[in-house]
Amino acid sequence: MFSNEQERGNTLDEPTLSVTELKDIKSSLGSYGTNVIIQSDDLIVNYGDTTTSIDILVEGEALVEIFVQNKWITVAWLKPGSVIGEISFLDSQPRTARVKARTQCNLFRINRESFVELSENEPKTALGFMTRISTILAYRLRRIEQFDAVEQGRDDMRKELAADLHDQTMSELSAILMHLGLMKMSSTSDKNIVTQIEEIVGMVKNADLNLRQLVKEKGHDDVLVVGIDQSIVKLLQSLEDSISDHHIKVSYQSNEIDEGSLPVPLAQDLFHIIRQALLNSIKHSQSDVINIIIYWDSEGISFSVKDNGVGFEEKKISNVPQAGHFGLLNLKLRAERTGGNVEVLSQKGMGTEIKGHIPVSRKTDTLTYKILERKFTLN
Amino acid sequence: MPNILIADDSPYIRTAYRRIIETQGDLEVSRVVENGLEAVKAVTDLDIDVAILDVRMPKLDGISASKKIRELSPSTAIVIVSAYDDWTYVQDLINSDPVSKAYLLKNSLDDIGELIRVVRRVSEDYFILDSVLIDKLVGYYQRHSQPSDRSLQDIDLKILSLNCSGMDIQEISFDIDVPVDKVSSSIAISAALLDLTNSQHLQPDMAVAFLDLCINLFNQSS
Repeated sequence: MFSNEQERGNTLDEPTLSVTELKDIKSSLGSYGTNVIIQSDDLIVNYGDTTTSIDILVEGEALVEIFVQNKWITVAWLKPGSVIGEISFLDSQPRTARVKARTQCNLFRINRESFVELSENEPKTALGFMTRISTILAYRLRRIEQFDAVEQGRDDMRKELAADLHDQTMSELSAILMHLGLMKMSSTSDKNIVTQIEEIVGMVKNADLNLRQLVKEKGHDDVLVVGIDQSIVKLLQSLEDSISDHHIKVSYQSNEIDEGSLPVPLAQDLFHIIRQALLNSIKHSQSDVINIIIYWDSEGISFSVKDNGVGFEEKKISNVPQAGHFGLLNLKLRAERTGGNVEVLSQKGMGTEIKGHIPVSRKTDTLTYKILERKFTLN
Repeated sequence: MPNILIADDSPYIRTAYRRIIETQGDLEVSRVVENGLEAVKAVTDLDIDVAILDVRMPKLDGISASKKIRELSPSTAIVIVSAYDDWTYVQDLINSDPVSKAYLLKNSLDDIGELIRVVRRVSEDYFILDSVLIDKLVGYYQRHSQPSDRSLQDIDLKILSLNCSGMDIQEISFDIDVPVDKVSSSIAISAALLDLTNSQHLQPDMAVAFLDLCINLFNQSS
């Protein structure tokens, strides 16, 4: 059972094999490989194993997990067409991560010995297979490099935004200082008042110092602790206190997104996508209404951040980092990393919608979960 | 009566500047604008004597606006007010043209008398630095110059600081209660150290030379 998503497998965008490639590999390597079925929650590959087989995921979903600070953390979500264990297959070193079946998985497994046999008997087929595996490895390396570059860009953008928010509040504090200065000048005869004004000046300057510190330290990694719903609510609450140019009504709707064991890295990526889309809209759209929706059901997670602002000429998000467009590219890379997609729908004067889908099914019946809606007004 | 232009994207700041300047009967706020482009446009419409510009503004930042303003109106004095104690902004502001320019920090503006003093003084060819920034420069000099080269005494640094903040010799003499001839000879020591012996004007050359010296010392050390 393959969706259209996997048909794109032969492009550089997805590190998976296409349906056609899977068929080709199975038919040309047939007698050298074996079909293996792994039950849900069983391990396909265990950490530290010295096995050197390579697995191709034919059906099902699996999670790549690494052991960090006493617990297993999911770092990748594998879909049909994914290649598992290519590194140990190539270098014979122990496995560096474990891969767990999320659903029942059908695998096509080739071990080293049979592959050596294949390369002696059918060198052309073996070379073709190795070349394809190498392009997947190369893709992964390239993506790591690209992601590093984009993270840097994201960091720069965050600093810029922090500077903007800081600048507005700073201006207000300076204005307060000047008004206090004026009051002090007109009250020189009353020592008591002058002393009080000087105390207030001290408080305002202290507030400014604290603000500078806060901007410097503000991190966004507590999604791990409080979940997506809480993180988005917290983000909106902090924006309520800091945005001052014009009124924006923001509504946030979700169906208890943190119930139902969403893997942490995926939750983090989703939160950052929503956050980035929201900040872009606040910063650039001049809208006064922004609606955020996250809905998770058996088909996957659908999300949308939509505003009624100025919009822009729709264009494809480029894969190459461009100055000023780190935000959108970062969204795309994050979405792709989860196995999902994101698109930007916009027209001049018609607002902008950033929407996407992450194909991770909710195991429990969706009707169990309530729709929650929160409203905020950013002044 | 000097005509003053105010450019800041915060309405609160614009109101505060206006109220401060209007306490002075002989200063006039001629135009109040929200961004750098409007500031540049204002000097083509009006004779502006002093332009007070925020560093971060929409459409055109304060430093870039100051350059355009000078091209269109060479006699307009520039007062940059910034939330940032960033030396690259200061250096960019005075780059090749330090005459009649000031760089103040927003945080120092609770002393409204200081803003008024700077607005009055900056037109007289001065380059005026915020006192918080001057203290930083003095700190760089004291920490990073070689002891053998450290020929400026505390009193010389104090006098040099006041000069950088836009005071002339009489004002310095009055401010720290030191005779005028002592102030002059201290300034001569600083001028010699900064290779300014033949300079006709203490300002803006002295402030620029001291800034360059201290920033270089700081950069070499880090």
